[in-house]
Amino acid sequence: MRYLLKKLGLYAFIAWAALTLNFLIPRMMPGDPVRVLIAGSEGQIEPEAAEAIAAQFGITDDPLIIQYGRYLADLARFDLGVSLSNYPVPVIDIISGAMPWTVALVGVSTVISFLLGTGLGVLLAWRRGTWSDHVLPALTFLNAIPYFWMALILVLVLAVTFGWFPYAGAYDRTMFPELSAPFIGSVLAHAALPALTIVIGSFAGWVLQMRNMTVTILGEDYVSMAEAKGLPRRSVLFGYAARNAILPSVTGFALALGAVVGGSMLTEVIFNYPGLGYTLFQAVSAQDFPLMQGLFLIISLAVIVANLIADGAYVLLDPRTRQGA
Amino acid sequence: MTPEVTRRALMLGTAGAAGAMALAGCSSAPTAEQDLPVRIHANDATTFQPNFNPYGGVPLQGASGLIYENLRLATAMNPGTSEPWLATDFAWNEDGTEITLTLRDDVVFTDGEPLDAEDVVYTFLLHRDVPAVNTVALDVVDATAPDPTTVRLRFGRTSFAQESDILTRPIVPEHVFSTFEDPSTEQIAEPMGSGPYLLDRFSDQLYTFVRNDDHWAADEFEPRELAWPSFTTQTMNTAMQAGELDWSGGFVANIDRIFVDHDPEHRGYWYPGNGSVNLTLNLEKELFQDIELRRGINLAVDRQEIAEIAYMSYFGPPHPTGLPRPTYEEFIAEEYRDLEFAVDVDGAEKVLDDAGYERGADGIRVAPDGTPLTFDLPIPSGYNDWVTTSQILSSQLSRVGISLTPRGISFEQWLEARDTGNFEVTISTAAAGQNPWYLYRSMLSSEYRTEGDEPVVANFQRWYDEETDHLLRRFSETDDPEAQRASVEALQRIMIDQLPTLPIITAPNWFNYNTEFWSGFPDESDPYALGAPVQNSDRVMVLRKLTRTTR
Repeated sequence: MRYLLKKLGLYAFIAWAALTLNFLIPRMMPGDPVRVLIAGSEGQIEPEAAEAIAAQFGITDDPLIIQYGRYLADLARFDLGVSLSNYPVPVIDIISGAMPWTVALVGVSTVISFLLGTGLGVLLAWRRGTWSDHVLPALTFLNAIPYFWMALILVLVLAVTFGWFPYAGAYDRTMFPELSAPFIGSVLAHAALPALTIVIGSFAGWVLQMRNMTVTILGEDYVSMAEAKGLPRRSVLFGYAARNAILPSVTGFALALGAVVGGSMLTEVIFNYPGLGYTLFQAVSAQDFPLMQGLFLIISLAVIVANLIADGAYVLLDPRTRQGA
Repeated sequence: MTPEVTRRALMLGTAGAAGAMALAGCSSAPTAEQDLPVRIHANDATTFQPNFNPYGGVPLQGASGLIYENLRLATAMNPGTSEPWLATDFAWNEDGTEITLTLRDDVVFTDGEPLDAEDVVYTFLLHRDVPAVNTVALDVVDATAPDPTTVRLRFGRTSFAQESDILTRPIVPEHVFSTFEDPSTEQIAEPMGSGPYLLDRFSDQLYTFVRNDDHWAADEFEPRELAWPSFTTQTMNTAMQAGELDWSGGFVANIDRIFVDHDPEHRGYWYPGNGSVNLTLNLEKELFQDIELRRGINLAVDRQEIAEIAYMSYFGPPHPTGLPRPTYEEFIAEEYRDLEFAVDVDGAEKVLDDAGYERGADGIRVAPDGTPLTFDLPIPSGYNDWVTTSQILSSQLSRVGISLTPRGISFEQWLEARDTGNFEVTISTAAAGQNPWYLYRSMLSSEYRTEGDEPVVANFQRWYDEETDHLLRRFSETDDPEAQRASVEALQRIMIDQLPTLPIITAPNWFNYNTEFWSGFPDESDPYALGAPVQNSDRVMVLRKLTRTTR
């Protein structure tokens, strides 16, 4: 119990540090959102409007400490401010609009990739020394190719050249969201290729980790003991080896789930998928401080919570950590 | 314009509001065809956030002009004139400080309330009372409504030159906007105006407008539905290629191969000039105050080569006066009509030799005071066309012994350098506005001058000249077209004789169209409006001209 309390205290401190950095970093970046907006408008906004726009955006010259106090007070009310690039839409609206797409796309593909990779890892460990070892170099290759490059090639070939998959968006641009078969079909069709690239790009890592871990554990004395007792191979593999080998993978998985909220920025940018990663990309290019802040906040909180869960899960799964505390 | 409308109304065999009813209700089989939406790409976005407030921040395209209407329809293609819309007539007082507008008496908001002079008064008082609304910098002092169809606007200074700004402000309903605490910070997800279209449906990837059949001009608009899908500049190319857009703005590399060649019969583009891109020499540096050096550089730059290589000959080189063609062709002075920029490397060498810029041992010229002519050319590295342009400039100027090194920097760094004057040479753009005065003002006026390092918002080469200011003032203080013309011609003389800035590229109005389903878009043979679907008055003019393509 004390162990958990100590952890909670630590995470509260980390969360505060993240909030403060989140406040400071955008303010230390060069550039001025008003001038970026005017220069990007190609003459649609006249230069005289600079002051009017600054007034609209509520950009102030107040001392940092006052801005910081206001920032914390707003956070307490879940008020993340108003986006500048989509003025005057509240940041929280933009984030909650983008979040479901990311959580569904990246979340589901992360789970698929974890299950597929871990299962395959156990299988390869079990069958080591046979033909299956030839799969390893291919997996190492998959693990090593830069994700964006593979995704770009797949978009070019499968979406643009052959036209088998849509190349952008979360659903067809002639439809409105509704609970109907064509709409759901369109959502699935649009998610298929990005999900495929995420799975291809990440499952090999799980396989390698799980296989290597399992192979190591299969050499442990207690595994030999179980084999000597004449237990069926299946229960030796799953009950003794895999159960222990999966521990590091579980931590990794919890962290991966935390990173889901940050979205696969590359995936979303390449596929123009309207999730959090893409929103962040746009916020950065438009110098949209409030939106960036809101996104960083959500992303860092998600990672912190995921860490906390990983710690908790570890305590549950591994009795040794309980004794140590 | 009016005869055209009448002719079409006759063709449809109807007149007045009954026409709209007939169109919407009575026709049989072909109506499904007519219901095809016009698909317009006007926002560069992957997802939309619902905001149509014309006076609040960054609204989605379409509401201004089509939902919140203009007083008159004005286009830069036809400077100095405007067509009746909400205002049937208007008149200035002698000194250009007061304008009296006569409104139509049959305009109704879509919630049933009439639009009258009070709404116009309210809209302009917003410009006075809420600075954030006043994005065109009107100096409104007072607005009054002597009767329901007459509005009198008073300005603090002579405002002839801003006539088209005044006439194209979107008019908003007072009974809705007056309930907002601050109209400039209000998010309006469901716009309600008086215009020929209404917002129909909204999602984060698409919104649609549907025709307002009760509108007084509804029978002038054939498209029943407008669809505004979300594409970014990257995805737009693919969508255009696939024929998923009828009307779009934006630059497309290799447009002939990527877009037009797939259906040359229907697809096309038209890029009239809409501003000037200038080689900007910082005139606060003593070196560039020497006109002979500017003249030498000017002679050495080959604009034709830039237009061909960096812009794939989408449009020709700019005119030496900087006036974009064909948009402001009519303002070009008689004596300069046939003038074109000519490359003259020998001439440039001679000018520079005579002015005492001797070549050093390394072939680079050195100014009489000993400064070598070696400059950095900072440009935003994301502007691909400018990157190419700067490389061409670099090789052209090296021929006359001037070393120019392109430096791609981040957009923000470049803005910082350009605005605070922390550069020697760069490239900058001036938008054409609604008449030549806007262009010359933003390029040459010293009203943008700031103290020390304070950023400037225009006139980036920092040309501060009394005669220029005098001419600009003279233009804005008269509504006599001949007097305005004389000012513009004198400004052209300054551009050509004193080379305050060097136009190198015509800044185009990007506009691509596909007439497979809808025809009537403007082009060089019928330049009735600018084509990019982002100007609120021009897009009303274009939509009014669109008809279903007949095969």
